[in-house]
Amino acid sequence: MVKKLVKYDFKSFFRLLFPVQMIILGIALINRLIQLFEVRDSSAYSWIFTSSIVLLVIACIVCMVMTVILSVVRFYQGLYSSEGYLSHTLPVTPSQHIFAKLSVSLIFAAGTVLTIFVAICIATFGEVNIELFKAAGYLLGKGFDKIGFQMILYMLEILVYAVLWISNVLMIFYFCLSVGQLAPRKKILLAFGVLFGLYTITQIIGTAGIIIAVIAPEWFQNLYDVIAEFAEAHRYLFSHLILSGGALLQLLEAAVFFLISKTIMKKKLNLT
Amino acid sequence: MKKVIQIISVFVLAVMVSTILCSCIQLDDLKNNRAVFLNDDKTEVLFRDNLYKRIQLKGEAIIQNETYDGRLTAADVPILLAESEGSAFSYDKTADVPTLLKQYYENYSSAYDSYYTGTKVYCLESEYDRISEINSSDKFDSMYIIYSKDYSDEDMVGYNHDYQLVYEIVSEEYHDAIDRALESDTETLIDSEEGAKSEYLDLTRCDSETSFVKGIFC
Repeated sequence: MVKKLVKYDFKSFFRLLFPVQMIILGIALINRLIQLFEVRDSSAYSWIFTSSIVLLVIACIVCMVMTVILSVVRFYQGLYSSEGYLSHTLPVTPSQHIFAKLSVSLIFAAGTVLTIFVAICIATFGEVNIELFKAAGYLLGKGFDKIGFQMILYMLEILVYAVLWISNVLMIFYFCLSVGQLAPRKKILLAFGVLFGLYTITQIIGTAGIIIAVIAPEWFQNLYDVIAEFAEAHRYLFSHLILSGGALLQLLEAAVFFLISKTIMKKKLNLT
Repeated sequence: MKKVIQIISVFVLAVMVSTILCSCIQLDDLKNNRAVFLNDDKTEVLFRDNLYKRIQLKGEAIIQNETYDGRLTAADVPILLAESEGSAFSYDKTADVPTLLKQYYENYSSAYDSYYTGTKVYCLESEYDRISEINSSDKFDSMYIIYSKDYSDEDMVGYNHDYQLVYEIVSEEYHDAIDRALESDTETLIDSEEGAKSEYLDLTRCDSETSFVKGIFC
């Protein structure tokens, strides 16, 4: 049943995002064709080329934003609007619902990243593209020479961190929507309020921490010294711990939001 | 389905055509200004398909129309990383095949980590014997006049003038007169009133202590 859910969501994402991704590739092609008319020290060419680059960048940003917005809208429409009446009659648990929505969102987020990558390849196709790959290969090779297999670990950790970070961002939105639907009226407004409240709380905690660290640095001096000593003695282990710790934190945060959203969906569903 | 395949085919053809028909001017400039070391001792360099050999000069080599756009790298460094991984060198920008290349700094790890290792000069292989002969002789038969010329606007006052060094070969008929002037420690100086353009001249001759010229600049 989850497979069918995923398939259905996949189709609705595809219908809306695919044309946008094709537009990005089209703009990249136009950018490449403009380079046919490259003339040295021509302000007209420079203006047109720069404009096409700016257009490509804006298109990429719009696609990324659209992917997130679509994920949030599909979650709300599929589970908390009139479509939710049908969704919640299916033999699927709330966890499976959330997991299906999250999976499809992650797949299309990866698709957006791939589209942007292909667009950059098209816009630089030819000698420039080859030189870009050569430069990337050289830097990777240099990295491997310098730190060996640690490079592979770093790459894996960064990839895992990126996936967990995107999942966490989406789970925050799902959490806000789930809390929002508890209200009898103006559910979306409450969802925005929850998002704003979350942001404000994290900013307050962060700022308080910075103020304390600035006003009374001696409180943390011992801790700083221990951390600095450890980092100096075990440079690679320290950086792996930072990355893995960050990824774990993202996972824990996402898990908390997942559990709260699931509980609300299971016990406090309000589809009025 | 047929229509989708047609659209994709047109798209791919357009990308391929654009690739074949054009190159990037900036990339061509980077390639044109890049030299590579041919051996591990860094005594041979390939620049614009010409071989250059390291030459130990007795003094400083002066390059007319000097530009510092050149980047000297190992052969395996990609062209896009020449700026950060390479060392800067200068050459005569008006010459298709410059005679001399001058490397001032060596890059050890990155663009922000360069060390002055003394000027290293590389000479075009076909000119190597001629330059070596000049370098090894005790007396030279050319004199250069070096002066500082003010290229600022007429209304410019104060010390933000645009001074540029100009090198010109002095005609042989003046050599003896210049020798006599130098022997008597005579200097030619044009005084200027405040706010007016000024030039300072210093005449020197090539001698055994320098390869080409020695000068004082202001």
